[in-house]
Amino acid sequence: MIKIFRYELKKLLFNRFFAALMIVTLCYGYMLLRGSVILGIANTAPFSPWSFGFYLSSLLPMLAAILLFFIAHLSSKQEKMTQSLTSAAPVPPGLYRFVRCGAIFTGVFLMSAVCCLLGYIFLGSLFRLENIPVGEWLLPGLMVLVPALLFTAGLGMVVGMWRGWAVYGVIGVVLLSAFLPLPNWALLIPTAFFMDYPKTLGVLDPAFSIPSSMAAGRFVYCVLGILLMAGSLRLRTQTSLVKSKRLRQ
Amino acid sequence: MSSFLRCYRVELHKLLRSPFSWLIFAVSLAAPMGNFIFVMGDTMSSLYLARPVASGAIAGTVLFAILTLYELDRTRRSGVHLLTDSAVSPLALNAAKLLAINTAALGISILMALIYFPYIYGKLNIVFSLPTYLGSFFLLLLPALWMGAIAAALFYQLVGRVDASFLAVLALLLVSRGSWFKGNNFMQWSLPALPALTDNFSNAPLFRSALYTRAVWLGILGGGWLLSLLCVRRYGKGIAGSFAANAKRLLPAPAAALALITAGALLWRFQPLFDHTPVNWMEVEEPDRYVEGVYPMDVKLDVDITSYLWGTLSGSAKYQIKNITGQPQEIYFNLNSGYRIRSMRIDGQDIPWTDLENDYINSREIKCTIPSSENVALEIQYSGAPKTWNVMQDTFGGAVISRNYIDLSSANLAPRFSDYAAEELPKISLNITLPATLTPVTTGDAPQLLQENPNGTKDWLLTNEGDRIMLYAADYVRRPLEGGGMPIWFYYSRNYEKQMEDLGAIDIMEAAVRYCTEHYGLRSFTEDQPFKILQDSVFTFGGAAWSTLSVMGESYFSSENLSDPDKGSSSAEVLAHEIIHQWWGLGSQMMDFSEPYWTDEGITTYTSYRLIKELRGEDYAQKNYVDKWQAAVDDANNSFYVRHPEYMEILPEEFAADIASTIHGVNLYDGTALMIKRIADKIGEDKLDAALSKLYQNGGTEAPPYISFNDFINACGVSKEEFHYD
Repeated sequence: MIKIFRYELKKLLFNRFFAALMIVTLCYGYMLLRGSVILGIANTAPFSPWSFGFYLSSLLPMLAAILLFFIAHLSSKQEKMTQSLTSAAPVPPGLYRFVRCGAIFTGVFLMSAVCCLLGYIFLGSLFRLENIPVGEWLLPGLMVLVPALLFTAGLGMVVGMWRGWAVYGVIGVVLLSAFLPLPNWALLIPTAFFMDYPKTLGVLDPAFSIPSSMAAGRFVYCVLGILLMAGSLRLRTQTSLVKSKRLRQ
Repeated sequence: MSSFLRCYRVELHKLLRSPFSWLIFAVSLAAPMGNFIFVMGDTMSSLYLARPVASGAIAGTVLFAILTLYELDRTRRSGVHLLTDSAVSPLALNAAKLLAINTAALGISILMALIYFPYIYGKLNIVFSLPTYLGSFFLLLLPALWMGAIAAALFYQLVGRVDASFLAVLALLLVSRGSWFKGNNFMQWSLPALPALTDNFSNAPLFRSALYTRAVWLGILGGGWLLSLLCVRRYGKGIAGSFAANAKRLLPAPAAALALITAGALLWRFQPLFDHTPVNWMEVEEPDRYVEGVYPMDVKLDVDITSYLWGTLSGSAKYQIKNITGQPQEIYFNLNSGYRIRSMRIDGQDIPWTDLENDYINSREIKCTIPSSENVALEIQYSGAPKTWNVMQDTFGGAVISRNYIDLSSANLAPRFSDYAAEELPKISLNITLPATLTPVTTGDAPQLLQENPNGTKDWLLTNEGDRIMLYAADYVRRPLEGGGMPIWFYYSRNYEKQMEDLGAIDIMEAAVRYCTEHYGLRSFTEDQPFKILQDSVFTFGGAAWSTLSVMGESYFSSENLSDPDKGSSSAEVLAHEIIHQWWGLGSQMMDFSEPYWTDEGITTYTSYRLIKELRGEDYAQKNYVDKWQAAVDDANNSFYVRHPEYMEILPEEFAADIASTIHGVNLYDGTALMIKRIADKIGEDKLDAALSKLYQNGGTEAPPYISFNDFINACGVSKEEFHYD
């Protein structure tokens, strides 16, 4: 399994489309840093965890779209043509697909890490690297990326199992959700949270914290994401079983 | 040819059956909803038409580039290109594919224009204009999709790689839209400059410029595409070998490609839209053309608009010139750089002249020599289309000639005599024929209607004292404004006839005039030359004033802007703000070199608050003005960079300037208004009003006639230590 995972990850990372999307994402990240983040979000420093969270949240629609784009590719015609070969391998097809999705998830996570590095270099070059509290970025980074990408990947896998093209619809839904006026705890893309919440804390330059409702919301997204992924694995396994039973009959 | 058409039909059919194409079409159709491209103007047309169209155009450029690459690479991707190449010429196939994609782009643009019509029509309502709507979709959006497809095909045919071609298109787009070429309209190959769309006046300069830049880029990209088509790899050869083989078979193609590229380049080089003011125009020293004893006595202008479509005119300017020097003298005229002199005559005899071609802020100098006689009758014939100052090529501020709007002032209308001094101002008159629907408004006397013509035009005589006339003409409604005991005429677009009354805009403007007159004093206008307030195009981006004429950008009347919280919470209050500017800003000016925040904006904002407090009560004014000023000032003061100026210092200049500009804006309006309010709270509003009235009547003493911050502080009897800018 690890071998397949490594192979798939390597294939993704050296994919020309991935490289092109990486460049586009970095360009967008640079525009965000240069246009909004540099001003400091919610009156905090441009290098504060709040500004960093805003930066990642703003990048999130693009990252989620890329994640879904590659998941959709798993259901493409080309992939289906190779299915007869891969299904002959001694690995359950559902698990094989799960590992491939895991590789895509990891690839997009690495892309996010490169965007973080871009932020670090950009802000570090302006404000000196020693002033950038990278350690404080960890919590907002995980809080923004993990639940949203897990949930998106899970949803994409389940929908992709049904119809490959429908994953493009999920991209639309995810992008649309960025514009919906939802309460903080329900936000998949929590840009509004980073813009508004620090101002409600009543102090200037507040330390990073999230309300319990928000934490619960993020936790729910994580759990839903994992359940959807597991569901897609089971769904696939069941479908394969039904197919193989039919074949035997 | 018939085989090419067959190929085209097959490709179009294939394109329309491909799910990927439909995904691209669907995203293209949805792109205008993204509204992600910023448009400077805030008219209804800018917000609800220009922004969606701009977003659709930019997204469409990228999407159709992707679709083109996907389609061009299809045979190679499937590994059947060797087979298809032997059956169909790859050149014909690529050309057919591009044509099919561009046909689809046309279909998508038509579909987009139909789908968004109900929404945009509903939003624009009384200001909806079908020509503007169609122009936006078919001159701005559709060619953007075409350009994206052509550029992608060009790169793909050159390099034969999808990824590199996509990145090249993206890079070309980012470079053209980036800060390097932000103000260069001709670099915008995807979407021409679209700063705004006017609701009520004319978008003709913008569409003319879009049409022209489209022609330029169609030539350059079309020629480039044709050249790249010859580079399509054949017979296992490389780029040079394939080019040679293809060119041999398609002999006229290289010449046609070069002709197209040259045509595009020549159109760019000799463009007739913008002048050639030097880049360092701020450092250019204007030459001294003053000759003592030479001045114009009488100026008669005859202007004929020759084409409303292309915005051209021809004119004759007759000058009675006094030359008391007893010597022949060189004299200079300033004329818009877009006009050419056809002849110059003195007493019926042609005389030589020199066009100095020294473009500077949309005009250039014309030199001629007049004889030594005391009275000289000089006639100048000229014609052309006025050019826009090149600095404004992305905002389109300048002269406009169109069927529904005319803005011609000074050297944009006729040659203007350079520096002179005369005991008596010359008299100037202008004969002009305008469409019957247009009402002329000028700086001078009331326009005289000479006659109505059977072809739906009217002849007008416009007169003024001085050597220049500012002429505006549009379908205006003229309405007197009461209050203050002086004649005031308000000219606004007929589109707003009902809205203006519904909003109570007239009432509040009158209330503003009355308030300012009662509290600060009268302005001196007569029945012959009344004070004229004019609604003007959004492309003026703000307002302006000359002698008896004050113009206000139309966006102050848009329902979006009228609810701008910075200028009050209702539409009419914004107008009040602009009326108050006639006292603070035109009647009297606040300026202090040591206090950059001390300008007319603060006192105007404060006066708006006082007016609204009088009209709508203290609670309303407190909530909608004072509380908002306080919140804005608190927000600015809490800004990271205000609290940590050490970080501001290490920021690169461009970022620091952006941040400083934001903070400056808050202090200019809200900060200053809040400070004046605090002074009023301390000394009482009556005392403050008395101080302001005194300053308005007498002007400042520190740097007369400007009222400095010290003048204000002293007039109020407070100390600078107590009330100061932080």
